[in-house]
Amino acid sequence: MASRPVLRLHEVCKTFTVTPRIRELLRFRRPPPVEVLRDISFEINAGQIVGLIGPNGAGKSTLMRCVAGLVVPTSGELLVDGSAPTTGGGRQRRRIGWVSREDRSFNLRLTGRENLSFFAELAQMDGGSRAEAVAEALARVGLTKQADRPFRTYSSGMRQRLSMGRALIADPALLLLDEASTGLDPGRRESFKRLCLQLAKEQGKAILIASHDMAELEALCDVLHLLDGGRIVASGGFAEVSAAADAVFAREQDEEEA
Amino acid sequence: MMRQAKLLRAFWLHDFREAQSYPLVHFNRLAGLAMLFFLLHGLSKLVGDGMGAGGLGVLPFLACGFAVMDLMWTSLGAFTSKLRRHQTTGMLEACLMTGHSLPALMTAMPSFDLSVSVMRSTGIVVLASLFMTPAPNPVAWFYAALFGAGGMLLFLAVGLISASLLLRYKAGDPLNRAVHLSAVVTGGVFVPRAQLPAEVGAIGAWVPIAPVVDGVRLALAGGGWAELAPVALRLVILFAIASTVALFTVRAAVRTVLKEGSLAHY
Repeated sequence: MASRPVLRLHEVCKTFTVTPRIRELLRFRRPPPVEVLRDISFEINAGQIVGLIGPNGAGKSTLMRCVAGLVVPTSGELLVDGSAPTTGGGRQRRRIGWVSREDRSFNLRLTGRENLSFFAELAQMDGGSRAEAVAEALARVGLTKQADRPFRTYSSGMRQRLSMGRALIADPALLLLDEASTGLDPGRRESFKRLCLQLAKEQGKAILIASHDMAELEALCDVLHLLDGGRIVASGGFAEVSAAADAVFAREQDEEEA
Repeated sequence: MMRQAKLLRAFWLHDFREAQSYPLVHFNRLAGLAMLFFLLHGLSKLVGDGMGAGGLGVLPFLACGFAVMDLMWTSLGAFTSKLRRHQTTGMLEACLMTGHSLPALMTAMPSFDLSVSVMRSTGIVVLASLFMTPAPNPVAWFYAALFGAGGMLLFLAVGLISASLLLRYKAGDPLNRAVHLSAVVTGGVFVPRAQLPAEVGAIGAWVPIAPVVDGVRLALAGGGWAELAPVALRLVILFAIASTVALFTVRAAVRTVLKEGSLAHY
């Protein structure tokens, strides 16, 4: 399969301004802005799986949100399929499938099928094609049998799988998986890995995974980026990055204990 | 336009299915309506005819006030309550990933709540019309419906301003509270404005609910176009102001939350 960059980041920076407290306002002081991402540059080609690893607060989720077009970078270039994700009032976001740890983003009173059908309708799918896409997404994540059960009866693993199904409905070019295998039992984790590999290698989807699970990242990713303090401090294959990651996590552990 | 219509339909069906999942939902709604009407009937008997209800009778006067108040309450609160709920559950982000803009989603989210409110308000007014003498003719109903629809547009514009303040400042909906308070105290919802002190009545004529409730009552009482035109003008002016402000505040709020990354926070 010919490689083309589905995601391109070039020197992406994100700085958040901090809302001043009343005491600071009275003293005419403003808290300094917080730099969350600095000079992030990498590409993901079609069919490639790229992993993001780093300690809590390293900037992984902010980076994911920037790529998803839910946060606008302060500077730099971020292109998904050649356009910024916020292009056309956010229409470009349709090219992105997003799986987060948040399992409350479904309606508890509706069934899994009804929930997916709602998102398929939002994605402008009509009648027959919508039902087909929903059934296919449910089958892919192994929820066909439970599709007509209310979402509130789903286990956390099933909720996570439904979230994955939602991300696949509109056939996105890029998948963002933010701690997506959290809550899955070992067997389902294996299915999740197989599904990711199938999506990337057979269907050419570009996948960006943020995870703390080194074994999962080793099994899945072609390239890993280690984020620390908002910067990429190491990139490459698992062997190249794991030693640096161990050092960063050990430092974090020491700092926490100190 | 088609895209927005599909979005409205999707949210309507979603919330309708949710409502259907509660077995007694329709019974509860009907019971609530009957209880409200019973209460209004009792109140009207208590007040008697000395209230100066503009030729409508006390019960229809109060019922029209309640109906418009209900419409306003839902329209104003619909955006903020839905937005807050979807922000805190992560549903808003999930919806944004389907390629819609935030303003498009914001305006579609409360479609079901609004349709229920329209039905409830219509039900109250229709019930009240049974107590009107003479009964309103089709032209009166048409004018009343026009005022109701215009009023809803005005309330939705104010609701959008409130929702954009919520997006930006995460501070509840103080604007809605202020609009409600002004409606109850000065807008002539429960007490004819003519009976309020002159200054209060003059201010009350320009609170958002006033032209709507005035228009609906006047139309049902058989008022002609000459009497309705000044009220309609007030409504148009208020709508023009509110919709212009809404346009700016929504744009500014969306720009800010995308910059600050606080889209999904409340």
